[in-house]
Amino acid sequence: MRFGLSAKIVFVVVPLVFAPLAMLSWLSYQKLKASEWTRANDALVVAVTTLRLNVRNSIESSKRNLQFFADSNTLRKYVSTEDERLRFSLSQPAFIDFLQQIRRDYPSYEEIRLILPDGFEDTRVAPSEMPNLTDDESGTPLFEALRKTAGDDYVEVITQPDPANIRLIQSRRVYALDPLPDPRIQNLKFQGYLVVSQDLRFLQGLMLDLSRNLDGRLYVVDADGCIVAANDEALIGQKVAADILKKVELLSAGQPVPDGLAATILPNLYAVGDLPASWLAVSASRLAESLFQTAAAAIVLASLLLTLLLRKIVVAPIKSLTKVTEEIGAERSMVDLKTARSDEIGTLVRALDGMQTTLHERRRALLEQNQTLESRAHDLEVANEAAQAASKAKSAFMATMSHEIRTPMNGVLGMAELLLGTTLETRQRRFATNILQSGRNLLAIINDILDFSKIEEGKLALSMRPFKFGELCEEVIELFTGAAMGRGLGLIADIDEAAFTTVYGDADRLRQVLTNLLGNALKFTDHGEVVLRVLSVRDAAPCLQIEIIDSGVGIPADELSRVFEPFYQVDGSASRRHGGTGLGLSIVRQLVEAMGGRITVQSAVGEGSCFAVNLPFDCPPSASPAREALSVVATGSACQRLALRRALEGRGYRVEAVAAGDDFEAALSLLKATPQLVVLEREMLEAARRCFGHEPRYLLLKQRLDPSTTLNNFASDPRNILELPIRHQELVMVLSAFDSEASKPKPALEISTPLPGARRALVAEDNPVNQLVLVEMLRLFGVSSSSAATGAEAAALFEQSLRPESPLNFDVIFMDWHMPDMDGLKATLVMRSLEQAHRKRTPIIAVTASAMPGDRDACLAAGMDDYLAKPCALGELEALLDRWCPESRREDIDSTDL
Amino acid sequence: MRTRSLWPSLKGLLLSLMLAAVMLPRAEAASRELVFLNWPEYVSPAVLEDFERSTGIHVQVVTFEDDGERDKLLVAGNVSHYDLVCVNHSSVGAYVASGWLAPVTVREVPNLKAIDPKWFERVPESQGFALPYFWGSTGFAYRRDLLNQDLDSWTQLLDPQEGLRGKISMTKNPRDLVSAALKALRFSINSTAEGELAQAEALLMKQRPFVKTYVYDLAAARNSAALARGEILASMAFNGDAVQAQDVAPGVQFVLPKEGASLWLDMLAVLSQSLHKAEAYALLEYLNRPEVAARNAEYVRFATPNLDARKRLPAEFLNNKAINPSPAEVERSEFERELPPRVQRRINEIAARVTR
Repeated sequence: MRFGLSAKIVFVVVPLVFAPLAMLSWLSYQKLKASEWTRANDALVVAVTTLRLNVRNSIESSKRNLQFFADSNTLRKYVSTEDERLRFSLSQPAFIDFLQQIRRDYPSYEEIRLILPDGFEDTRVAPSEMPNLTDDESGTPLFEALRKTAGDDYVEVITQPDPANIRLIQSRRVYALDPLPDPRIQNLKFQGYLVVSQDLRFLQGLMLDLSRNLDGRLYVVDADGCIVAANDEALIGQKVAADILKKVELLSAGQPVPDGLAATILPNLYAVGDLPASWLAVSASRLAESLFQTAAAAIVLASLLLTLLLRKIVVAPIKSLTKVTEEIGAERSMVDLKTARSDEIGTLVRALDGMQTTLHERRRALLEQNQTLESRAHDLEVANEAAQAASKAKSAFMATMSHEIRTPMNGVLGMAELLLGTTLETRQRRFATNILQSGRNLLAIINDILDFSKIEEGKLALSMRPFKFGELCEEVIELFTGAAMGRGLGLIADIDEAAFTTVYGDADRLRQVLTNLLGNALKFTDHGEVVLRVLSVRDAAPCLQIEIIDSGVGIPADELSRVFEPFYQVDGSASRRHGGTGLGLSIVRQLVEAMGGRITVQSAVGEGSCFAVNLPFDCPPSASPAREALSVVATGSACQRLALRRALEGRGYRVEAVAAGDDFEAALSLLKATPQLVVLEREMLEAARRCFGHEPRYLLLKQRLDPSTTLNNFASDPRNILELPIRHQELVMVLSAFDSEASKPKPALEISTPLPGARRALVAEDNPVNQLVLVEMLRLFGVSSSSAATGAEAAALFEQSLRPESPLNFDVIFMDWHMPDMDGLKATLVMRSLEQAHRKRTPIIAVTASAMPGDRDACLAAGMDDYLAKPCALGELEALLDRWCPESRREDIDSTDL
Repeated sequence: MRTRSLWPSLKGLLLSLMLAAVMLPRAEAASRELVFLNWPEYVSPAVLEDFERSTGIHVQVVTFEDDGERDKLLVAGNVSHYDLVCVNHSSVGAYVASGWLAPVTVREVPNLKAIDPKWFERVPESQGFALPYFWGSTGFAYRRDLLNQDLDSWTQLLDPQEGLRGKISMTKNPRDLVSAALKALRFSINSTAEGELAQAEALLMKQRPFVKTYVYDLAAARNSAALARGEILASMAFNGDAVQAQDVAPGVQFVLPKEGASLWLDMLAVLSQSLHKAEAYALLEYLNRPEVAARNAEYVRFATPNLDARKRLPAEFLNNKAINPSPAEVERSEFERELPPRVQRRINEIAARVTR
């Protein structure tokens, strides 16, 4: 949640205001509550005192009244008439009137009596509800008390039988006027008591004044705690609570009450005050309420004011500044920022103004720069376009050139090969070989250049497909077998059994790499051996390690790091001697790295070189059952021995390697057991036979292209021969032939053994030379061909072949890409559409010099099945044939004679 | 301190001062003055004028409307302010015992012989001190014309019909009040039995709601009398007062109830402290001249005890049953007698309670 400045201020201000005010209110409340109680208490104490005083005053005034009445002439005259007869008949009515007038004047004087000294109740006026108990008061406690009282005045509070009828009795002795006229002698004769009885309810009237604004209760109670008068009239007649009764008892015992809330009025009459807890609670709650309201109002007001103030002082300027800043940011015209404030806001405003000016300046500078940059960019763009155009032109040129160069090259090489296939005299053969060699060199150079330019443009794209790794290596070796033999170099294939598996990669590029490296190795070696070793590295990152080791001139240490640089050649003189563009290794490295691998080189001058290529192919070793069989390997070359050992161990044999040489026989005799298999060079056969007899199987090693013939039948039996460099499949077959006595007819793999023709191909190629080359190549594989020079022709021929009565039946079609009239693409489309009706798919292989990456996909999209690059090597062609029209179909086709 | 408490005695004081103020100049001038304490309309003004003309003695009449009032005036110590007083027979004894009365015998008032001697026998304690003046009965008067009924019983007054609620007036004189109740209960008016008195009290208490006032204003017998005005429809009344009232309100009818009434005799006496005894005697003498007595009687409408005067009275006067009750009425009525003090006290108490 986002909280704006205003909200934050409110959240801060409100608690800040709230907390102290709340605390203050609480404290005030407590204080006020206490002071309220004290006030009420004090007021009540005062009230009690006042009440007592008032009641006493009232009693006092009654006493004075009594004195007055007793002194009145009427009363005196009446009591002076001692003769009852005269008194009652003449005086009493008037006296009664007199008393009744008193009663009217003082309504609280309920009963007024004249009691004679002997206790006789002479005259009585009272309300008719008050029955006269007796006329003879003598003997009553009151009369006794009256008699015994010393003074003329008497006052007593009496509880009548009915406790609600608490009466105040006041009496005054009445004296008769002596008839003696001398005023100096006041001979007063006691003539009785004027007794006034008041119902103390009149005290209620006294209460009312006092109880105005009085908190708590005020009572007048008798000695039993019965309420005579109270500020709450409803309480009259009830008994007070025990705690108040205690105070009353204290007072009646003559002890003072500590809290002053009770006082004695008369021996039987007490003034008491009481502040009940409920009052306190009510008063407290009223207080709390008013305080709360005040506090709440104060809080709200203060919060409001503070918030408004803060907003005005702080938030509003910030808001306006924010707006201004936004405007500045929005790059509108300059905003007028002027302020007279000297506080932080003012500083901010001035800073903002300064910033604005600077910003404006910089913006202007920036705009100028932008304009400059734009014009430069424009220029650059133009240049870029030109460059790109140039590049495109170059690429197009390369593509064209690639095609244009390859086409005649194809012809040259093909022809040279064909020529070499014919009968030639030595000199012719030499010339033809040179032609072929030169042509190949030239082609290699051209390829290098084209590759390099492709790599330079970053247009190197690997076409990934599954291929057999080991077989590819062997193919490459085979290419160089002849060259190696021609130069007297040993060529050893040391390929791990595990490498003979299908991997996913760009086979052509790999072939290129191997070819390059192997070619270099052979080139730079004058004598000795060249080894192609492939190991499957099983560690955290499984890979295949390919080593090309030669015993050549070596590379100087200081130049090792530069061998992979383009155009770099070791030793300028060597270039002239060994030829080449110097691009090979750089291309090799690019290719290896493109495949996700690494290439390293170790070398020493005079000792040869070892180029190691690591490729990230995971080739787990195949489990070959271990055999008990012991085999002996004897050859002159240590590397060959190693290769043979690896190969045999890969097939499960235990291997003892023995070096050929003078100590050969001695070494052989050292062996404890008789081996089952002895692999050796022909020269050592007799020695071995002498050692082991005829028990073991003997396998003679023979260089593949060695034309020398054998002297004995043994050596001429192909089953006893293992040709070098080792071909995995051959080894497998030979060894398995040893296992089972039956020897299977091996399909002939030599180029020089054409098989009886069974397959038929359609070759569409406009260039007659290329056409011828392809046809002848196909013938070598026992494939007979029909040719067409244009796409239309090819389509027509194809259509013919599809007809049921046609003896023609194409197993494969080789389609050139660029042909006049209808090109290969169109022809393929036509053929495919023709095929649809006949539900038969003939493989169509594109043959083209175009080597652009997209071309292959275009071919496939058109309906072609594969791709053969010109110039095409026999090995490639063979592979294609194996794939698309393998000989297994031979049986089927056998019936039809082509 | 309330000043009103002074008023009762003050009233007496003022009254006496007034009287003194009035009297003093006269005392200076001719010293032949007489203060006559009397009921209102109880002496013919013409007679007094004649007296003055013939004797030169000016008679100042001071009136009272209730026996108690008169007693009060005298008790208040102003005995000396009055010369002649009209006192009811039942109080004479007390007056004599109080020493208030100067002797009144045939020596002082020769015309005394004109008075029917039986009256003196009726009130033995008055002999030698008081002169019979008029006699009458205490019954009740009512507005026959307004009530449209004939009333004849005390009970009709004391246990009245609803129509008389708030239309009755009684006297506050204890004796008269209680006598009425006693008579209504067919007790003797001179009863001393506490039980009878208690019953009388009860009856009177019961009557209270019907009584408008306990002030007897019929003595004055003017238009202002409540009965005359019709505010009161029935009132205890002295017979002569009722007859006088008939002048003003012809519808007034006096009733001597069938239970009987209380009979009384008013007497004139000379106060012992009087300074004008001679004049008093002179007036007494004058009043008992037969023709004067007759004229006076005719004026006051009461029965005169003066035998000579009776001879001179017209027949219609003598035949007025109200004024002169029949022997049968007299028979069933009772003559008031002075009661024992304690009984008087009791009656005072009853009256005080009833009339408070």
